[in-house]
Amino acid sequence: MRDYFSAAAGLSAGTTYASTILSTGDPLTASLSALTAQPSHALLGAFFDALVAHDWGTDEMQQLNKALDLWTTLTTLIGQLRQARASLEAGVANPTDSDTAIAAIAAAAGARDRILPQIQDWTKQAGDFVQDPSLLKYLPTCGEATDSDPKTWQWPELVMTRRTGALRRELLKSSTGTAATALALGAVSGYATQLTMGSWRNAVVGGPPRNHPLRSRLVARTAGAWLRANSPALTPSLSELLTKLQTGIGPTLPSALTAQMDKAMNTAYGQFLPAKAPPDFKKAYRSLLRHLEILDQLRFWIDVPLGQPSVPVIPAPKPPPIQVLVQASAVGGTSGGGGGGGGGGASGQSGTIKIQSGGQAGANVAAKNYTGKSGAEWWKIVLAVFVTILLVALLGIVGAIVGALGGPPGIATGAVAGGSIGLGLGVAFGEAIGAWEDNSHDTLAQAQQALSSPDGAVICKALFDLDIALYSAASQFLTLLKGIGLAYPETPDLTTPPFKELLTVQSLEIHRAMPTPESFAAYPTSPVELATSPPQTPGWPYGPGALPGSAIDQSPVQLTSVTAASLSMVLWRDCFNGEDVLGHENHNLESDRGFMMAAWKGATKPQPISINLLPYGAI
Amino acid sequence: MPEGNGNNGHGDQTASAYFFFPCYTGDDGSRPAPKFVCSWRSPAILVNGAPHDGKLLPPDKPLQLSAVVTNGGALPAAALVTIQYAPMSAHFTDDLQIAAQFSEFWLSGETRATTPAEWTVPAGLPSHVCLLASIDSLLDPIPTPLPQSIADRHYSQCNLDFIIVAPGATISVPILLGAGTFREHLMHAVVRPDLSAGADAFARSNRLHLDPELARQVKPALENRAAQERGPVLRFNPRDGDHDAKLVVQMPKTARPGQAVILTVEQFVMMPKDERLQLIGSLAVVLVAG
Repeated sequence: MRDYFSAAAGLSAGTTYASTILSTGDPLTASLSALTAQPSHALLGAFFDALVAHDWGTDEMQQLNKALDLWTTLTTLIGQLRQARASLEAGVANPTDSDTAIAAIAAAAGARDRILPQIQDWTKQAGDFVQDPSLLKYLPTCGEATDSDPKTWQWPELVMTRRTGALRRELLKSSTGTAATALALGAVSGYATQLTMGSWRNAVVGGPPRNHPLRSRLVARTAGAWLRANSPALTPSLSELLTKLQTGIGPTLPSALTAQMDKAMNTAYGQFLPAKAPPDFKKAYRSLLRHLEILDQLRFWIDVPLGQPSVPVIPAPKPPPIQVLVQASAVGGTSGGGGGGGGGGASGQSGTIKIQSGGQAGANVAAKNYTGKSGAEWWKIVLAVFVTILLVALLGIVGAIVGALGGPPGIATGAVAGGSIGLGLGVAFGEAIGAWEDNSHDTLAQAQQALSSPDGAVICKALFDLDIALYSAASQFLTLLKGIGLAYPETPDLTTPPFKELLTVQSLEIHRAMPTPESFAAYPTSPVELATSPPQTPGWPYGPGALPGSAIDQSPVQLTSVTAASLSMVLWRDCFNGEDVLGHENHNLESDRGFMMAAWKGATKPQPISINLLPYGAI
Repeated sequence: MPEGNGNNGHGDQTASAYFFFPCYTGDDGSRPAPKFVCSWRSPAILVNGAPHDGKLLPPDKPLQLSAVVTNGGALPAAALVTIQYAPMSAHFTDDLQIAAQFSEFWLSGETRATTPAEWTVPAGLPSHVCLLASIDSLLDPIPTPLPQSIADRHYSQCNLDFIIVAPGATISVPILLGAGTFREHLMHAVVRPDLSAGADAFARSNRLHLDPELARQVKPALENRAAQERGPVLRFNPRDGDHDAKLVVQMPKTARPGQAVILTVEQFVMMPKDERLQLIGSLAVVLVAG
């Protein structure tokens, strides 16, 4: 589930490269025709390791489903709030029009009684979600990192590190018909892409996924987003990938394909793991489709336009600005935002977070301790900003508006500890809403009085502030998801921290795991990993400064480079010309000790780690 | 000497959002800006897509207003940019009116102009209009209640006027001495010929012939009824209520047509804590002999 874009781009680049260099008379041209005849099956083959991962990765999908629920709710609330704003601002602009005035008061009542309580609920749920320690632990623990017996490992790890060539070879050998052949050739392309992109990724990360799981995921997703942005012809969008699979293969995996995969798995692993049930490929395929669907919906830049002020939003008199004072205990006992994961966060428990009018800005509290250079504090800062500034500000603004509109029913204006917050308004709006609810005979008069009073502009300003706060919360919420590799970065994100630092190779060293996993956004400062046998210095084909595309595309200027395209071509040819590289070589697809590293076993906990190359017929 | 305020210092640029109106190449938002930057003329305020040169804005004619903004912080953020106008004032006045507002989103490290908004200069405005841009964000709020200051990176202004004066003639230019959020603080207003590198650069870019000798000859003064004094330095307390003042100056008889001198009026607040003067506002009057 690491990155769909690079797998798709590697397949596209390989197919294009093959069509460019193969003559029509070359026997391989006919052999590879399945790739273009059944592109959806080829794509699924390229996603083969992701498909296997979906047999297991339930934690990630659970987190993503929760995230999508929160995201959908938030964007819905933003839409509802903007409708209410539009009605209210129209009423303030034209209070003499009776229909407009009544609609404005109805909108104010609707905001008070329905929208604002939902925002308060969302704030609580979002705070709980992002502060749950399990959020950073959604990736399964790697058996290789714990030196456990490979027989106890899960399939996703096995298909990346053991009998890797044998499995893809068996997929091809067990294929009958064009669709099955396309799937197998796609899997070979996926194998090649893993080798090249994995090498590039490890050089950016500073080590393999077994040492740096979260950083590896983040780099892989960032590279995928880069490919989508910079090589769109090779890299379809998530929705295009989803459509391609749904239309070319269908919503469920055909039994013929599962039989092919089951047979290949059994041949590759059955003799070593006789008691291990093969992956449930039908279930995994459904999960993969759902995964693409969710990832496609977690987009910010296109789907959520920023609210605009339609009336001047600095009315006279200007209401007191709503700002946040974060007490030390809210940020883990430090004086800055560095420990934002601690404390009461959005729930605003008494004694942890205060909201007040005026005072120091919470943003500056977070600012003081952020060095920003290494990115080691990135996660803490983003979390702290989201929880102790945005969510708290949301609570404060909601409480203030509800109070100004005549109080609850049922919403906690005092939910914010120390909540001496208010807009300093009179009672006109509350009375107008009350008259509207009671269907009083002077509803119109009260509505017009409220809307034409200075309070009208103040309410508009407060709702605008709420709109901007929601928008900012939406941005930061998705930034959090993107920043831990759950969602894909979008093109504009690639110019911002931490993503922009994750796009070029910086070093060629392998570092041990970091003692503080939450510093994943920064290049590891842990000791270099040593090994009992060569290569002590792993070989990477991509030097400092290399961008993700250098591992994918066979462009004219990169003829000497190893790319997913050129390696796919080599492996495809070998499959048919009798050399059968996959029939006698298994590579470690994580490239965890260097490019084209053979499958190996050994203990990874000691320093130096022990490396024993595996014979072809061993796990 | 005037000093910046705590929110403008160095070192916070990489944290959260950090908005400012860039006023020179390489500007990192630290304030006060270097001496070669004129606080009374920001290149970040655009009129019809170009930095406002301070010339008279034609009334009843639609203009396109926008502002260049940088987010020097580590996080992308939404912000509200407001461009207000007011009669010529050395500091924030109660007469500020909104000309345009923009709610936009800036990525980390991004410098970009807002989408232009149309504004028609209302008829009846004084010949000179001060344009004040401000930026406010949840992740980087305008510091309140203190200090409301043009030396704060959340603000930027174009606040200058061009006046043609015959050699030997004396003029009296009405200006306002603003109070902003400092109503309980002692203020100083200082007028002087501006011979700074910033003024020189501004003059060159506007083909003005600044003459240092002419600048030495002019003896500008400020008048204010509440202060009951006249001179290059005016001490007053905003709570006394009279914010109307005059800049009085005689163009030297020796001035040749086309020669110019830039007079700046800077307004300082005396901080009660240490009685140091802090720059909070400024304006400029460009006198051209004619």
